[in-house]
Amino acid sequence: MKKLLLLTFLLVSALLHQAMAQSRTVTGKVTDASTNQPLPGVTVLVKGTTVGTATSGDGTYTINVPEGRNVLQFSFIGYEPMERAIGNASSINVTLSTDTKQLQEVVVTALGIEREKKALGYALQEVSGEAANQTRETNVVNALSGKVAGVQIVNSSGAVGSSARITLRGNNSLTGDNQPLFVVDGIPISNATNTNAGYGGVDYGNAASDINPNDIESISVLKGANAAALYGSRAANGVILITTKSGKGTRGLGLTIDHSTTFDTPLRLPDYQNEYGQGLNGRFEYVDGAGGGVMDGVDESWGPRLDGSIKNQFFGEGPWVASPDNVKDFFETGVTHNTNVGITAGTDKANVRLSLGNIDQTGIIPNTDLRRHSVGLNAGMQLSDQLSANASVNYIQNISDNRPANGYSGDNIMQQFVWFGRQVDISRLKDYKKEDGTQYNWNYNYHNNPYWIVNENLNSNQRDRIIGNVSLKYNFTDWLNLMVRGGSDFFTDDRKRVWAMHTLDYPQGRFYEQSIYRNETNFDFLLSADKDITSDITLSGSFGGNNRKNTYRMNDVLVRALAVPGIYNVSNAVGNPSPSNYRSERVVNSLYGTGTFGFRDYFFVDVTARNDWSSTLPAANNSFFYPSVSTSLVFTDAFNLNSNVLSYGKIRASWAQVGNDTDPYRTIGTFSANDPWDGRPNLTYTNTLANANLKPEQTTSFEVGTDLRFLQDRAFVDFTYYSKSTTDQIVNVTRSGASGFAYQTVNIGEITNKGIELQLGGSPVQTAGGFNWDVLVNFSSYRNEVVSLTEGLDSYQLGLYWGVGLEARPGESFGSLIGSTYLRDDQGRIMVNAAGRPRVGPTDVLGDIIPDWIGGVRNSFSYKGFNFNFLLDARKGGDVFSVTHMFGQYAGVLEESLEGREEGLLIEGIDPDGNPNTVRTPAQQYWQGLYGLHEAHVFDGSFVKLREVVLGYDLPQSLVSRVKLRGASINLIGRNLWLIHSNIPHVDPETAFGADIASQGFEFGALPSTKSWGVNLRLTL
Amino acid sequence: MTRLSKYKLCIALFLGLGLSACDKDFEEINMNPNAPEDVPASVILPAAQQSAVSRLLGANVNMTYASTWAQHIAKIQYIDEDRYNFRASDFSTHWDQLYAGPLLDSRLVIEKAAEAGNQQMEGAGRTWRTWIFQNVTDLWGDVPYSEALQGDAGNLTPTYDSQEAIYMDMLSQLETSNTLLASGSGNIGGDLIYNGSAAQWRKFTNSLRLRLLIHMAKVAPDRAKAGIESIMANPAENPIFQSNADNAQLDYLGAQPYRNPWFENSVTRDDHAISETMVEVLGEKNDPRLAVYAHPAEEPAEGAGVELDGEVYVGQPNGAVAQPSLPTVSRIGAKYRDTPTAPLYIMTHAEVMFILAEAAARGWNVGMSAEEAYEAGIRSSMKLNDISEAEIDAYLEQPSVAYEAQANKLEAISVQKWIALFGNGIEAFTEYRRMGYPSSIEEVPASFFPGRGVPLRFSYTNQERSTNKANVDAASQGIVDFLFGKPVWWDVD
Repeated sequence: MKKLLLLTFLLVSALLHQAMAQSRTVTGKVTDASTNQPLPGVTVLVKGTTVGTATSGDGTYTINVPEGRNVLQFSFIGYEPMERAIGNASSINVTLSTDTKQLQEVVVTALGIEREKKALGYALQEVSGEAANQTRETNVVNALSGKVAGVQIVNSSGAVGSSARITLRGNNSLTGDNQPLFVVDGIPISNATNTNAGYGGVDYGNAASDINPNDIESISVLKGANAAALYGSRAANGVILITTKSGKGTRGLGLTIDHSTTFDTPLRLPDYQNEYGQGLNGRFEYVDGAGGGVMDGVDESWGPRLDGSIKNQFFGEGPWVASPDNVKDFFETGVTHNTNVGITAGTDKANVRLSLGNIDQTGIIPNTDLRRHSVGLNAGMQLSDQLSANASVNYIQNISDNRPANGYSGDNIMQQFVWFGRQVDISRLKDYKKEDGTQYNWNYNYHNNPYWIVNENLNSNQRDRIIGNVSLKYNFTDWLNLMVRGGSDFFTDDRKRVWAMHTLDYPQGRFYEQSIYRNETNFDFLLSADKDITSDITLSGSFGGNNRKNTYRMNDVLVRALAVPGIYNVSNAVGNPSPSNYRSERVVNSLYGTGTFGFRDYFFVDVTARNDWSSTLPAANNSFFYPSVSTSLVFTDAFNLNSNVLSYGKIRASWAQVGNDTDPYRTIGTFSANDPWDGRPNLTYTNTLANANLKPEQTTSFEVGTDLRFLQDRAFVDFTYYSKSTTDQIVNVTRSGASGFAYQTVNIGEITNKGIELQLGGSPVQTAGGFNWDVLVNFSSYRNEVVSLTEGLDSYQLGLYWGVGLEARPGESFGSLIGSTYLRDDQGRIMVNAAGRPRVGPTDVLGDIIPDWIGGVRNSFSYKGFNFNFLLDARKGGDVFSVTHMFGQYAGVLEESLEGREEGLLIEGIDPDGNPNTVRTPAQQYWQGLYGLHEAHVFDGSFVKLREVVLGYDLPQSLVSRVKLRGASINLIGRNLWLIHSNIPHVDPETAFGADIASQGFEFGALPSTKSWGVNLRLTL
Repeated sequence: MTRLSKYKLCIALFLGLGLSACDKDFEEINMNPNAPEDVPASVILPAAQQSAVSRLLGANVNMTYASTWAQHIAKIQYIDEDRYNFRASDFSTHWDQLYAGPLLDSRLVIEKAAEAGNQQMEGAGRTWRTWIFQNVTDLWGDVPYSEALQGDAGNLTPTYDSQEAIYMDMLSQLETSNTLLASGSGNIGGDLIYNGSAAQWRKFTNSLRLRLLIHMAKVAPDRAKAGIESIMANPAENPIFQSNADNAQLDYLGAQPYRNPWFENSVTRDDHAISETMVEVLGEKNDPRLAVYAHPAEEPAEGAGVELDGEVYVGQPNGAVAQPSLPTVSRIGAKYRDTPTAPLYIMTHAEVMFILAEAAARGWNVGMSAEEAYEAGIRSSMKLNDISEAEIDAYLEQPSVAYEAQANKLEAISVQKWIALFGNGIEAFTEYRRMGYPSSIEEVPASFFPGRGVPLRFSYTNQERSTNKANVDAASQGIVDFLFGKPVWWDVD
């Protein structure tokens, strides 16, 4: 209520103020000084006010100049800004000359403040909306792949709407997120991942994937804590700052229509053997597919040789032959239609942009889909000379009738393909239901018919989301203004999973329904001052405050058996349904300030300071302060070193701290309830030891960098070295369960990240005929070290699957894979047992999930209206434990399991008596014996991928103007077209078990990632 | 910037925005609305009971490992664990879930009961905690005990106590329980085992003392003898199980999520059959329990198995090289695997009788002869399996069963006890390790560790190796290939 009153007061006073003001109109035209061509899009501003406009397509402008103001400012990227006194003129034409330095690059920084890039003392990389969206990737996170140095992106699977994980400069925190904060137009939004992968679940996508890439004007990637101290704790992992398109700077009506259609197919499937069919010990005789015959309940391929003989099988008598494409043929071609309409309109007092988006997607897995509808409205208004208002609202709706299940679960269709009978003809499974309503399948023991899974056991969800904000800005004088803003991001996500009756694990059927509400609301204010003290010295500063409130609510119910098939309603439950609910709340209040000192436009110093108060920490420790300082020097200007070779040079350095709070309710232990036993409540105490003395976490980072340009800016290098250290992390560490607590919430240790980021670019060829070749290289590498944990803790376990732990151990890299090794003698030779098979040794470090380096190279070619570019993306290192490999060998479906099928294998090793092994082991026993020998299944995750290919053509202006269009273009696009190199057999090295940290470095039965190609059409009216 | 008072902050923020959240105290916001911080013992006890029974006697610890290694049952699909190729993560899970589950909850029951002066609840809590610890130490040997469960007091790396010391303390815990339960003060609310009957809890407590003492019969015969004799010398002060009506058991509700765990497993898995060892032992004696422990084989191979009352029962050899054709082998019987309401037996009257039989056979004074106790044990087990009196009488007269006809009395008692323990794999695994009977149990043909014999223990966990390394390393001295090398304390020849 107080807020409302205050806003009303501000609005009313503003309107009154406007009504009393007098103004006059000035018109004119802006042209390029060298070519005399009109310049559209030039910003025209009445100095000392926020009154502004932009020139239209023919370079003309009209502006209302308030009483008492007498100077117009003209600015345009790449040109020298200009000021002109108005005097009595009603028409002012100006010519702008290109900025000789061409370096007045304006970038969006923390709190949405636009800064000249040269003034920044830290690394910031911008990606234009155009570049991000050119291959029409629907998940904005994936759209950044290979485009920003220091960014690593892992997509969990090729399922429709699946989540992607993004990290900047590696992992700093053990707490499981490590992903940067997403900020849209100044308002932080949720990028909660909703994978539940692990041992089965459904990937509902990372929440930032709701952002419509078509609405993105630009993306600023603030990589370090340095750049982000002003966003508070969550920015310790960097910030992805998204500025959406607005109608600002447009005149009249504009309309852009985009449509793309893309087609998806699996990028990579395992290499299967096609010589032996289902069974064990070379035997298989089908009776009932459930063990009634000989090995006919077995879901492995250690059966008889596929010799074409006639054999009884699940469909009746037929030839015993391989079905080499039985997995491939299950998949379909996924189709994505992505249509977007953007409408802009503007006058000198108001502007608006309306965006309508529609994505209609079907997956490579049959009967999976996703539909996303979005509406975005962004409006700005000049309420008076001093007061302006901006508002934006986005409504996004995601609907899926069925998302595929993933992870280690019978609900994941890939699970049975990791086992499988190599002779199974998948087309015979399409009629998956018998007349009595039960399943028809190749195996009745362990697996559901994959078509039953995708057609009967549906995982639907609907997420409705609104992201909006309103801001007001008041200019007290030409150097002092106040901005107040309120914004909210909230969604409801209704999810339902159903299992039809006669599903193998749930013969009575079951369903699970869950409703999630998530809300983040922010109010903030920022008082900003910007003053030129002398012609040499500029000073600016700001002071602000923020109030953030996060609310989470979840209600769910599980029904374990159904009375009547097909009715997934609680009233149809047999037995007691199990309902549960959960809610949490968090409030963080903050005050912060910044100061910038500039000297002669070549030397800058920035300081920031922030204090947070968080509800999640104990009262004694809930206030925490953190500062930053950064500086930059354009040494070529300062010391007049500009030359034809070195056209620009800047060095920068910065130091920053970021404090961090924790999740709600971690300071006091509680009891949790099991289902009541015959009406009797039974509660168990938490297995996580709470901590009433938690302190805030702290990340301290330091970076230095340089930005150099050569040969009249035809080539550039941007290099950063950084070092980060995170201490006092709040984590649940694994404890000896014997202490009564398997976990404890503690502040622990120190993790350091030291790395480099390098961007190289240039234009090797620029011909007078209009042929251009540009190259852009992004490269990054970092070393990660767990310096210390805490007393009595030798390891922190981030994840654990099949006995392989993902652990942080002091002295080792963050993310070591720990598992069982081959038992070796003191000479390192593998030791075998009396049966000639490798013995299992002690557990040890098997690999490191942190890559040695990541890089991307984009080559762009343009000639007249044509452009062609492609992006190669590479990773060196980054180990993966492949469970597909482990189970696929166990099951005898993978190609390598052919080795020794007839004659057995002689494993090179030392027998128990210390002699070289002479005992041949049968193939089945050997390959199955490797189960649990984790070392045999850990691989180097290096890869090279052709990430993006775009071939575009802009229709000539002469042609399009004839049909009353401003522009028209057609692009052929391709994504993930080719896995050029991989050291991991069978699977895409980029897939992980899920998007959370615990799933990194693990692979099992991932729904295959996709390669896509398609076409995009754009019309501009 | 120094720290601002909350008051000043609110003023400052109000000037900017008029924040509502300043009205609300942070500590109030951070109060967990979803779960209580404190609850009475009577709602913790049932959680400690059902979680411990389901874990120790349920589908994994019991079916997949203990009952399989004791060769009561055998795996017919995914035979790995039956070949001793265990999943490391299974043991880690069980260890953590027992300690940081029912053991911790039992500690809280005892503490809250003591605070409230509820002596009977405290006694039941001590007995329950001891039963869990007895299973833990019998499976793993030396384990954290005296320093265990004290994470909240700051001990996060508990040392491992010798199993001998653990046994001594468990015995004194049970003596304390016996006294507390006899006090007549308080009540055992929420009890799922005896529905609050202190008298029956007392019988269970003293029966459990007998179990512990008989485990020590070979390694510490004097202490075992003295303990058992003193219990049996004073039945009024030390009541024990008198019949199956006193059995400690958990009756499952039959509806999810509280269906019998063996039944629950059978809904989705078909991994276990009756073992060949069990079928042969029962077959030799024409034991009518065979028809209760097992289903007849659907399509037995010619000449395979044992015939009883016109049906053929075929056991699966443990740890076989090859998987059998499924219809050719006998599944676990309906009473144990096909009944959602079937109880799991924590301790039975039959076991108590066999304990006394062994004690008497060793020449200790238990107030009855070995023969009496042996026959009472068999009768009790038969009755539990719904065998008629006539059949029991006939059975007892057979030369293969009759006590006086047995050359090796201890072997006869042990084998009968092993038979009667069907469904309680941990105790059967203990019986085999302690006594070496039935002698037909030997290393499985496809052992993952050829030549090492039958496992001597559960493996210590990887979690302990990373969180409590020094202590688990010290306790691991002598252990070879995870399961072998060093027997547990009472496992002596």
